[in-house]
Amino acid sequence: MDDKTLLALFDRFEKSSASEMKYSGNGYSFELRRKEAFVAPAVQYPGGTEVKTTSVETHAPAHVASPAPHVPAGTEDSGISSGNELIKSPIVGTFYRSPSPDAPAFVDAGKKVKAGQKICIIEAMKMMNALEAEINCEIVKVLVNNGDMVEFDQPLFEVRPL
Amino acid sequence: MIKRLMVANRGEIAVRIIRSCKELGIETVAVYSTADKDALHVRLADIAVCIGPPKSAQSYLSVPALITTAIRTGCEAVHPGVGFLSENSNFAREVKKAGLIWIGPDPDVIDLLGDKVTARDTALKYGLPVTPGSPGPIAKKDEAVAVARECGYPVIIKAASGGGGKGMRIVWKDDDLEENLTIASNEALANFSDGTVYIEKYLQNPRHVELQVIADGKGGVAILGERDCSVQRNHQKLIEESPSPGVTPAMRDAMSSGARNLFSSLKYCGAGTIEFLVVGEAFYFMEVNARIQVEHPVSEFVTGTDLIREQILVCCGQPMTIDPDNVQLSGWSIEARINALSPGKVTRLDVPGGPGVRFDSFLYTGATVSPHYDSMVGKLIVHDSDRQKALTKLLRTIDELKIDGVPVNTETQKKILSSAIFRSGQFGTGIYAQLEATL
Repeated sequence: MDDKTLLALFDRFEKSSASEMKYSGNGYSFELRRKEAFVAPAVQYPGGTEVKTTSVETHAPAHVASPAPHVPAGTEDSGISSGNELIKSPIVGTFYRSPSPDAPAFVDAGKKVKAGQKICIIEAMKMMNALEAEINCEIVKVLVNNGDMVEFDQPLFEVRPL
Repeated sequence: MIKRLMVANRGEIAVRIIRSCKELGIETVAVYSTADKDALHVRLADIAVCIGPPKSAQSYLSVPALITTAIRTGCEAVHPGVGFLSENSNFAREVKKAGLIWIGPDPDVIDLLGDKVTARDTALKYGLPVTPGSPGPIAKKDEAVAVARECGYPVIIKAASGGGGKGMRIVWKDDDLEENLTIASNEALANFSDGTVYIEKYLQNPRHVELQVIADGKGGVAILGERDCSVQRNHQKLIEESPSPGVTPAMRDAMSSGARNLFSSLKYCGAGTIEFLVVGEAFYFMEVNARIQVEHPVSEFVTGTDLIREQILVCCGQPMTIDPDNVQLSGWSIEARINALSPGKVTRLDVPGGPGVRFDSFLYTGATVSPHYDSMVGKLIVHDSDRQKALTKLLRTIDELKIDGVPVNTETQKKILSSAIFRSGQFGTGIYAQLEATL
């Protein structure tokens, strides 16, 4: 699928009244869900529908001046234990550990997850993008706080492949 | 005034915007793809956010990534730069919907000017001549033949939503019209999701002349002289100058007055360019570029303004610092685009200097020129009292510019600038083809 088609699909979804859409094929797979499909309407995330300009200092990834520390390249220098891997953010957005503010977190440190299991949500422009584990693994460490802004490629979880 | 602005772009133009912001006391947020993590715009900005992988569609063209970043970093405005999403009305609308200031004209104005058929009609309404052609879209062969015969061959079929040479066909006789109409329409459909085409008289070897405009959104319009961008290769500009050697004061006044009416009536806000094709003393409206342009520095030199600053000021509701009724053009400015011939890493950079010399670039020693983006790595711009002196200066500075590690087009640029035809000032957009054998 080319990017035009992909963007057209996103567009179509946005304009439709559907609250959920799943696609897989041609090497792509994604799930789109509207916020309403996830969260009880009355409940709002701190950075949810009314995303306002929160002071940047509270968000770890936004840095001042030096660009180097943003994205630990690969596993070198990232201080993770040998044999462990990092799950990184596929998009820029707001990181949520649970499907709604009062629901339990998808995963905690020590939890074993199967490939395909949801581990967090990344919200961008009010679209809730569920992130799934690609491999069977054990969560060693959650690297980002709930509600923080995450950059593309920013490590979210340290995991131990099972 | 705003406190923080996001630059939704990369490379030389992102660096350029950040520089003006610093002087205006505005903090900047840079966005970058993983290929650009060590880029100069990332280093210069106050805050930098990685928004995606190298592929532009997933980074610099990703509306959700850009909007999310602007909001979460506390920006009040978004500057789109050039290229990428700079003339994308959908992005402009999303920016405004998020409560942010769009450094550019209103999305509806972008739409109106982006559709070439509507833009032509609008230009006509404000007294600007357009190339003879179909009054609207052409779908049938018979209509096409009638229009082509009326204008006289050759004619050019163009895509209503097009640009960059796609969906364009030049036709020399009746027999070839039908086939080319179909091809152009299919090409337009494939490239712009809109198969609408129209027909115009094809001007042979015209000059490409454009006026620089800054407008305040309330009807105030400053025209900052013209630029001649006739030296192009495959519709990509290579050398630009201001003023144009082919524009007389009378032509400049006539073009300016039509342009002023047009921009004023549209309540246009920000920087814009109105392009004309010029043959002899006749000029024909071509299109409006609803953004700042790569070649803006030559206009900055001859008018003594900072166009990025003016653009930000007017879009943030501040008065422009230019007096629209008293714009003085002084001397001559020429720009040579420096394009990489292949990607690489800069091992040593020697930047030319001296009075009236400016090098706008994202290069530094150690910088990487990535294969993912535009090949332009810098712009060498000079200013002197007349064309001859400016030309001599540009050739001198090109000789001084040394970029080790990344091959660039300086030899070609020197040959063009030294050619008798360029020196004569008498040339049109065919100049590159005329010189190509010698380059």
